[in-house]
Amino acid sequence: MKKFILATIFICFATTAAAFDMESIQIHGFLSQGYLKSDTNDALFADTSSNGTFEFNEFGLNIVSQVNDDLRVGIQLLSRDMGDIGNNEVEIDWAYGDYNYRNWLGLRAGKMKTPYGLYNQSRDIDAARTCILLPSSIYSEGFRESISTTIGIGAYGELPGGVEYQAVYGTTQLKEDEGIANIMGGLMGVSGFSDSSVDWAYAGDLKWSTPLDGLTLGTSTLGYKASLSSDTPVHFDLDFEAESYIASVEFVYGDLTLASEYQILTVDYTISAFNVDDKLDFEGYYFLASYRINDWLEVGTYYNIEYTDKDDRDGDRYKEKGEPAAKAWKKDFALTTRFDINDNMVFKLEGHLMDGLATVEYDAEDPDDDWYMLAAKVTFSF
Amino acid sequence: MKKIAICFIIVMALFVGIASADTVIICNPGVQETEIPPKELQKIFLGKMTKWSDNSRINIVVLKDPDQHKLFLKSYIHRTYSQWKSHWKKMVFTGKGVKPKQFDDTGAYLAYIASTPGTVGYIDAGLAKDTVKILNVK
Repeated sequence: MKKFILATIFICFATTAAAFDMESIQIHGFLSQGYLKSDTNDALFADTSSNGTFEFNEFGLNIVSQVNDDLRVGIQLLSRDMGDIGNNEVEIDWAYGDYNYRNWLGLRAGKMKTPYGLYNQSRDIDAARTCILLPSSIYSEGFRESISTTIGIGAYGELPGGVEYQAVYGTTQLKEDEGIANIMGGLMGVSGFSDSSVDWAYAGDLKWSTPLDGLTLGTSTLGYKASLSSDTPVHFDLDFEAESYIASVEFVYGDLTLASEYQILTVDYTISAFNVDDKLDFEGYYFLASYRINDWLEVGTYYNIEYTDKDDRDGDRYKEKGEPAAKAWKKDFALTTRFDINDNMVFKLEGHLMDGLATVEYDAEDPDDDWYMLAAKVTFSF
Repeated sequence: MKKIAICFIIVMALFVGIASADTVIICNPGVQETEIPPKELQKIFLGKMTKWSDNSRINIVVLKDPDQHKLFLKSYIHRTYSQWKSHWKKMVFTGKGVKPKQFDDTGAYLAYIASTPGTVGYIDAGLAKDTVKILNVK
């Protein structure tokens, strides 16, 4: 029912073909529908290999009001689907008050997009980038729920010398049947969690606009402490702390954009009922380039590499267990074309040449670690 | 070699001067600033700097005319039109800013800037009127 309400509201506003703007109040929205098709393995929690899937969309609608010189409040509803994730449940994507005390200090409270890396805060906004799928080494869909938003308080500002900072503290979301629960369960051979909770979460981001015009350097950190409970086969709690760091660089020169990021993500976990105390060390990085050819055409490419354990890049641990070594990595060479039909409509077509089986569902009888995926997406925004 | 370098710098300076001279930055007469550094102007129009020196709110307005808007972006903000659109989509859909108001009509645009405290925009140098203040960018 909720999704119909959201769709109806969206259509009502979209038909005006322009954002509603009453001086201090603005309403904006976006609607994306995509298609994914892979040749062998299933990716992104969806059945992409058989006939492909249309379970790949996002709808968002927001209202923001500049109450006075210092205070702005707003809320965005988001409905998304990516295979088993989201299923078009309508949820509050962000809803916060923003008190801008000075240029060097602003305070936020509520549910905010988590500052992390170059693109985490804008990861759901397809129309704001060249590629359809962001490099998964940093912007994994599996970890999305826990790193997408923070509920709590935040501070931000512009410091002398071109330094921009953002920091948030509070809690985050963790679903027992999605994303990180599936990843952790899959890596440890546990299926089915019945409950989840997050004790605390934080994130910090620094960006420096260097004296060289167009060159931005950045670094981010993020962490949270959480637990997942299972009653299968007996009751136990999986307690874990995640901590990650990113180094970022972006260079914009005319119509050319170059970007690269490197991330280390460590997850320390314990299952006291089974005397388990271990950790996972994810590592990933990518190189990205995009070029705007004219008003309606942009092309882009990236090469993305990720390892589920930075100390076992060859997958020896998996081989010992009789599993494919390729579960230890995923290397993704992507090519994208973006067509701007007009200011409100974008169509994209993207191909992925994959090597590896990390965070992928594959045929255990005949694992194929060299595979392909096609993505197409159309987005309307106003 | 040195002479060639000096000539090159002079030509480039003239070129930049000509490109920027066609468009001037204008604001409400109540804005205290009379000049503004180029980097700060970029931050203002990208929504990263939202307060004037007296801590009043900066209100950005732009023209819909694509030629004038693109010339302004190239001359002062060092962004292409598509980069500008993408940037403001990110701001709007993360709640970090309200999209700059756009005007079709130059007369209404100038009247709005003249009557709305804290407002800043740009215009062809030949169309600037006494009702608005010109901000020197240096």
